[in-house]
Amino acid sequence: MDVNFITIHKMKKTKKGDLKIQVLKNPAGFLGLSSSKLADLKIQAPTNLRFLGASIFNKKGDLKIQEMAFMLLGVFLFFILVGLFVLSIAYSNIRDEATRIAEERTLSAVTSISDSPELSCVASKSNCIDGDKLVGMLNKTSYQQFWPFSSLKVIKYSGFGKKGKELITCTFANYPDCDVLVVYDKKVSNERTIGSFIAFCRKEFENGYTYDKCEVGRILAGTELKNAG
Amino acid sequence: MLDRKLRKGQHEIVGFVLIVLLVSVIGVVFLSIALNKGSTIEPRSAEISNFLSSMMYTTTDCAINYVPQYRDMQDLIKECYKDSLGNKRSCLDGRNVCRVLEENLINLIDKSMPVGEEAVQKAYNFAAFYSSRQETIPDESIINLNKGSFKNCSSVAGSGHSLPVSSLGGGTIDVKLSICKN
Repeated sequence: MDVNFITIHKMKKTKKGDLKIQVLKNPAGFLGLSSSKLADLKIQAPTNLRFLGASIFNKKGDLKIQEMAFMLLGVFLFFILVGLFVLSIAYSNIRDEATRIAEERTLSAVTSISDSPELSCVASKSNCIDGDKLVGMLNKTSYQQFWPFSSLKVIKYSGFGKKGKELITCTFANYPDCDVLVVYDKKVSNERTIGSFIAFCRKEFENGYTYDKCEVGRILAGTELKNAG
Repeated sequence: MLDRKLRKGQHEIVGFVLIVLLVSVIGVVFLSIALNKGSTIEPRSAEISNFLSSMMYTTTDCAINYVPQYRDMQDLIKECYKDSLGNKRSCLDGRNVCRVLEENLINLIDKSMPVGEEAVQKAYNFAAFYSSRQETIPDESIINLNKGSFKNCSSVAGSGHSLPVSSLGGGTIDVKLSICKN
């Protein structure tokens, strides 16, 4: 204890010299070995056989734990992958189904417009719009509050395949030689348009007879997206 | 000796884990492929249903009795069926009703639902056939139109429409349209 105390005390002044002295004075203590401990081991080894056996058993146990850990990891990863896969399929199906139902609802709403008394054909045809009735509704702002759509248009068969600017808007003057009948348009910035096919009929006169001339048309109803972005 | 055994054991464990992972990954891949191919049921589309119903009212340029009694598409399908039974029917201008029907249908579908690699629709199949009330009698095809290929469709939508034909022995004429989407 005295030696150590002196050593630490003197290390501050002359470190090398002190270390040499310490090694000489207590070589075994300095190295961490003492002859008595080595001797103890020599004595213990032959008398206590469990010393060797326990280390083997410990290693075998470690291996088993390691094996179990790997196995658990593998099984865990497997179930995670399967679970993620099943969830993704289930989630995509739900989303597809929700989109399909929403589309069907909007389409049925649009179809119901064509069957409303304001637009329906006289000859009790379902999903049919009377063009002559529709022309009478052009530029009537009161219908903006009547239907829950931001815009309502009907594209005639002649307008199919034409781009927006190429479409000729119908008026009292140019009907029926036009492409699109705009019932109303609120000109909202965020609008989603849903379309559905309809039969577009009007009265024609030929050879002294009147007859119904029908063609395929497309009704477009716009809905304002209020929480977009 | 002990070291060799330990290393061998570790190798076995690593191999076992790799096999478990490999098998699980292969299983997941196969399962995903099997489930994606599974749905062959054609979803019923409201849009195509509306298209078919409005198409049936379309006035054609074929008058059989007098002008301007032009036949609409559903009448022309019925006339075409009568024509196929041997009761020859033609328009006043001499054209065969089935020929007029085919021309009108192709024009109408091509303009309303354009088909192509760049378009929304990739292919279509239109079929009209007569179904007897008796199940033992097979369906009789009236017209069958195809355009494009139904391979590698992102989805297939379709719908049908029945025409009441009381004058044709109580059977019905069924019209079906299937669309392959890009």
